[in-house]
Amino acid sequence: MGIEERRIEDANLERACKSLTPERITKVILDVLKGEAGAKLKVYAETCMRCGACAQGCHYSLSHPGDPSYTPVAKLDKTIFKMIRDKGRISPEQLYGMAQIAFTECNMCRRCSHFCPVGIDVAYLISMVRRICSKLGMAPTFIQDTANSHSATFNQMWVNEDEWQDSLIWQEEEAREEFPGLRIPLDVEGVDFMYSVIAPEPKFRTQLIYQAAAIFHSAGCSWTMPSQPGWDNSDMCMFVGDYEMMGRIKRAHFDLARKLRVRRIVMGECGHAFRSVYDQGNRWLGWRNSPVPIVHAIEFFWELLNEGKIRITHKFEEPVTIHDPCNTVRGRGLGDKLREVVHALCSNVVEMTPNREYNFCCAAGGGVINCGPPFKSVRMEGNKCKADQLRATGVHHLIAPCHNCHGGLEDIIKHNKLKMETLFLGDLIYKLMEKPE
Amino acid sequence: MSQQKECDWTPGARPVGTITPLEGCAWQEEIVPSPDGESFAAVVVREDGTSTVRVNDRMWEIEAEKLSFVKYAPDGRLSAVARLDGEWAAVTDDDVPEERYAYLWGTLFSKHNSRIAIPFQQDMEYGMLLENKPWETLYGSATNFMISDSGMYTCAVVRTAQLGQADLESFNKGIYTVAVDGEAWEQTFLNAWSPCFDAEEHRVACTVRVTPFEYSIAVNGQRWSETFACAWEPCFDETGACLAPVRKSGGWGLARNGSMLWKPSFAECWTPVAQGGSVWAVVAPTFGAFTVACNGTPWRCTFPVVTDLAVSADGKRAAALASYDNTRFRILVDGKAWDGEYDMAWPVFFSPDGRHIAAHVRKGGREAIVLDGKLVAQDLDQAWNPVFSPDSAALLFCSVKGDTFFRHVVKTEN
Repeated sequence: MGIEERRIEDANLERACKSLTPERITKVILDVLKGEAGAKLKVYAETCMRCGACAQGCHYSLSHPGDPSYTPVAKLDKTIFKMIRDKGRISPEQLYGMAQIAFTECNMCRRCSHFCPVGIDVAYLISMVRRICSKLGMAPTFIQDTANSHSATFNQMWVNEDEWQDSLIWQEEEAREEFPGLRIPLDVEGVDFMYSVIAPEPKFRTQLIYQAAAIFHSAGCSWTMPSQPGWDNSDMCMFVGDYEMMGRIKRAHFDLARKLRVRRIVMGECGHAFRSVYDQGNRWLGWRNSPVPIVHAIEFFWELLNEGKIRITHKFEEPVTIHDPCNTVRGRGLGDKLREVVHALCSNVVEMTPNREYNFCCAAGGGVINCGPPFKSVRMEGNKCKADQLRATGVHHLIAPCHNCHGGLEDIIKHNKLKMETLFLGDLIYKLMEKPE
Repeated sequence: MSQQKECDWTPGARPVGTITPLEGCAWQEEIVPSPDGESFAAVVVREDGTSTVRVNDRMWEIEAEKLSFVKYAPDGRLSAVARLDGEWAAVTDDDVPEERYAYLWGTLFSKHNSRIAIPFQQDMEYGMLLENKPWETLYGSATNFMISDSGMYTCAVVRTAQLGQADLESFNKGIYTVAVDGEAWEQTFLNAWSPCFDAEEHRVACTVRVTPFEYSIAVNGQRWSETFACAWEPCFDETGACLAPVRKSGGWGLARNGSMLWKPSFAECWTPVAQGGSVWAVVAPTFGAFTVACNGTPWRCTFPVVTDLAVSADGKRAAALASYDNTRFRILVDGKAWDGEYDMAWPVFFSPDGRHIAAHVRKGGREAIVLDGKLVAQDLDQAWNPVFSPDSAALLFCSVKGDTFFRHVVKTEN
């Protein structure tokens, strides 16, 4: 079965499809292929042997046995390779299918690259498809709206400046009831780190800000949060293929840290944002590395526990399993530190199989969950292997230090009636740490 | 520079007071020095949970639920925003006006005349206060708040129409523009960012996004006819021309009134400054290697990160901070790095005559002040950015050592 038989209606894809002409499509494809892609794309396109080894690396493919159209190589063949092969002569209808594949049937998780005999970066190739589609206005409605929010507010959820600051003050006041004297310092210059989060935290997961403040307070950290736009480290522009906006919002993020003269940025439990700040956004701006060091929450909690700055009163006794987020474990190699943190907190850890860099993606990453309700079924049906993997652990508590993973895993758990609770590391540390009497 | 009428420029270090929390205070927040160094302030929370401000060893009378943005204006007035009975007031020197707002934040001061502007939200509409006078027209959202150098005008990027949930159609019509003193330009754009005033304060320029992948610069609403793959913040030169870094054919250069002034040959180009007939900017001649360029010619020394470009008043000299990814900071002056290497550095300042340069730095947990490449104060627990006297003959800065707040003045010629 091909993409033509599983077309899903999306308002923006429909609207854009009607407005496009074959000539415009060809021009944009050729402009991107010649002007932006360069040698990297050519090398990948010419070295891919179409061997299909990548099939075993893709959760969509594993969840649709017998349907080769979900294999990474097929998805490339139906999108970027076809664009190259046909010299950009693609119809609007064909482009719709390509957009659906690129935005909703690939999480850009890079698991398949581990199985490719020549190490082709499929995520990069899919990102080029998204870039082309985006330049033609062909991005699904909800992720495009998120990218629009980034452009207007520098955060992904249309949070206004006063709403952001008010959320912090609210959480500070709530937390003071439990931790007298606790502060969520705002714009304090020269401290050790700026703490950055993603917009869903002030919007509807404010308890995570509370918990982080409680942990930092208890650990005696020297920290601040920024008051100005740029506080959100997330980046759906990266996944839409709008690299110019990706650069703009990352510059704002690093500029805040630089102006606050902090030593480093500690970021909350988000995976894709990490990819944006330590790899893609910073480099689009011309920096070889992050201009201000970035420390993911996994590493920071590891540091606090190892330095004895947080005292854990008891361990979590119920069996737990660990979900390795793609961007921090496969992308950055934080699997060991993640395990050390979890083992410091929990007495009964059941590893899922496969794990670490071979772990299956949550199917929410790469902006797929941000494509919204029309494509939820793609994620549910495309990640049966994840449901099987979770079920096989036999545990009821799942630790996932990533926002998108939480969203994706919670959907999978509910859809498959797995009776599991998803936890952040911050949830556990807050629950287990020593608190005032 | 301190605009307080009388400022003591007599050389020497003088203790101003002790920063130890005053009696009856549950805790004290960060110390804020006054521009003349004669006072310091801090938010303090009393034992009963109310917030107020201490100034030296005296406490304000205000009993607020929360105090934020406690900052001295250049003329020495102490400004703060205070939450009282769930609403916010713009407080100056413990004087609480009757006007209340749903939210106030992000206080701004003008470079000259020391006027105070504060963004506000009321009934989910946004605008600015200028010396406590609100804009007459408010907007559904506003950001990028600015005050002109004279303090006569304010501006912000505003949204001019309603925007529903996942409302791509409305967004695509272009519903963002700049409002000056609350009056929005007629022309609207997909986005607008980084507004700035010209020297005469008759015009405002900003970066605009015309279509999702076309950027330009708008001046008083009229955008350049040329569009670019991307553009950063604009500035005006002394002739009134508008300059902005733009991306073209995969590289960054500088455009002047829409035409290329610097070839787009850089891997990055931003923070332009036009002064004394010269144009300066931070650039990356190649990927990962940053420096400063003058009139399109980069300095030879490059570093992984270069920030905080400062240009002398005559436009002939420039300085900046360089670092190895936020470590091993160096101070770059006129194309060369000073000898000192620091764990952290704050912005570099030129004296009014352009002959002297000073900065606040930190190394090994101790803070110091560097003047013309030499340490003039060191081993400080904390220091703040220095300011030069109007005649450039002296440098004023504040510090804390132990529990004592000091005011220092040093001669620049020694």
